Amino acid sequence: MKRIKKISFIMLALVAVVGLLDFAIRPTVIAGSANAGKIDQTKQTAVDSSTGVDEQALAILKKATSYLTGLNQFRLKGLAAIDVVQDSGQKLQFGSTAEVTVKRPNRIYASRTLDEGDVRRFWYDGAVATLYEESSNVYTKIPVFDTIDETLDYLETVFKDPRPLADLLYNDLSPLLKVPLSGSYVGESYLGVTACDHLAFRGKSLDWQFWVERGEKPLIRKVVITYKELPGEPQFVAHLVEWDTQPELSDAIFQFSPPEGARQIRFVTLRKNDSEKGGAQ
Amino acid sequence: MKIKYILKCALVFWLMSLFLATDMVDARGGGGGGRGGGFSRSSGSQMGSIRNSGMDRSRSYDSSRSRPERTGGESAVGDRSTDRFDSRGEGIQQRQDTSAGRQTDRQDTRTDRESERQNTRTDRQDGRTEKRDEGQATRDEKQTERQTTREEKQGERQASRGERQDRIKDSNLGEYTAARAIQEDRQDFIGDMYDDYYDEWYDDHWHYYDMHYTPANVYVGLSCNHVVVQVGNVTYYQCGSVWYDRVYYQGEVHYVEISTPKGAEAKELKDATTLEVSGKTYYISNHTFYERIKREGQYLYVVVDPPLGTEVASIPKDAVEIKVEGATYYQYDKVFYRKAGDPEQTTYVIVASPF
Repeated sequence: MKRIKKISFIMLALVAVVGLLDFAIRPTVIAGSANAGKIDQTKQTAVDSSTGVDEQALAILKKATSYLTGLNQFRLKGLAAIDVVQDSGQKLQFGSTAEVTVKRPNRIYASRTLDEGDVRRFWYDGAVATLYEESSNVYTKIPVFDTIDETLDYLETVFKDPRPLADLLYNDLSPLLKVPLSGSYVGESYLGVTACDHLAFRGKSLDWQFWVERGEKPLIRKVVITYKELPGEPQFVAHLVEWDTQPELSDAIFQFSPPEGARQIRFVTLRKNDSEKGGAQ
Repeated sequence: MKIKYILKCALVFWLMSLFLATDMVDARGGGGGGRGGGFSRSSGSQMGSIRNSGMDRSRSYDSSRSRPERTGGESAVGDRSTDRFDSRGEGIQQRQDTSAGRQTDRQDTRTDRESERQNTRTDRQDGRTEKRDEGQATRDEKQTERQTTREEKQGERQASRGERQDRIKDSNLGEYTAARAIQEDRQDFIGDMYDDYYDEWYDDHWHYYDMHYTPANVYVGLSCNHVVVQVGNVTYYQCGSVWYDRVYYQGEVHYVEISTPKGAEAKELKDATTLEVSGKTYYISNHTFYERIKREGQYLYVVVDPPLGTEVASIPKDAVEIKVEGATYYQYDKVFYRKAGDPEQTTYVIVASPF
């Protein structure tokens, strides 16, 4: 009987130890993922006191943005994916392929093919921005500013037409160096066979990551933006698979010519829903 | 037996601990099941650039502080039943600013355009005929006011920035706060830029707003039992007696309710009234003006532009209130109204576009 009690005691002790180990391991795993972002902070040897960004990350970002702004013209092709959080909370990802051609200081042509098959195009010729939707064969024109920077700001802030990849198209990329509240150098990372430096930044309303190619051409090869203040924290991901830094461009590609049968439609803006002012009855 | 019993109990306890722990982890990830039906593909207007992420995206640059009397700023939006539309086509109602501007010296061009506008504007409500000089004087006054306001605001912001820097310096709030201050400065910068640019830019581009419609609602899609109607070379969509057109909104093609397009035909009209204007008989049904024609022995009603100056008892419920240079208008698609009558008996007069 004593033996049975002894064995029972040993078994209970074992169970207790296993249980404790189990609970001990789980929080460690969870905490491990939570600490992932902190790993590099421990590696940081210096932090820019004005921005809170790791100096190595900032240096790479500076190098990448300087290189990009130094290009008078370029063409890039990429694959993008964006999360759309449904009313139910379910998060769906929709993809697109994109080709963007930029001629500084005031020319852009962009084409996006959505995964549903529709093609959307955008022309900016220094005076007018044109949006075209192929499936409907409709377009709209908006008089805009005479620089890329003002025009993109204008489209995003006034027309609420956000283009997350637009960050790479501005003539002045210095705001990217000022926006981060903190930043880390995550480490070396291979995108296929391309060796990159993986950078991670934190902002007020979003976090983002850049993968910058190592070597003479510090091209941004991948972008991930996490909109952490939006429900479901959706992400935008873009793989910039092809950069042409010396494309042959004619001004014609930045000019819109309506396809046959295309109809110009209005762009509309909404008014404030302000019941205090009373509605038109 | 007891050993087996104890082992079973232990196994059950361990498995329970596994499930409980797993549930806790899952709960962190959140859940949410699909409700079926169509899925939204639109990410909305919130997923923007990194560089502008410091801005409050709900902020509108049409705020009354910068342009209370230009494009009308805010208007009331009438309640709109969305029961004709699917879950993806719910009415989107949100504040939207209309434009920003740049500071350029185009006074001559502006004056010409102002003159053109003066010529085309017919406002029979009050019969006023504005003189260009008066308009110029008013504009000069407004520009002076705007400049003063801008300088005041910039002064306030400068002071605020100075205080913030001092606060950071004094209290050693750390790098995070310092970084936040930089971020806020950029927001201020963008705010200043649009505040400064908007008015001048709008003066240059007001004419462009002839093609704009600022409706109460726009819809992602139409799920009502709609028909496609060709009027002239243009394709429209019709659900019952309500017409829709395609428009760009937030960079994508949406649908918007419009007035019955000019040239559309009807064999008969519901609850029509007649009106004689300059010897011509108009038939009015559901706020739409028709003329009667005879074709192949049959009478048809064809939509025409409403005669300016006509007084009507009511306007479409989704007409949007706008203000242009201090005057209040109600816009429904291409038709503009102004209030008339007395407080006891409000009526509306159809006027020319104030843009």
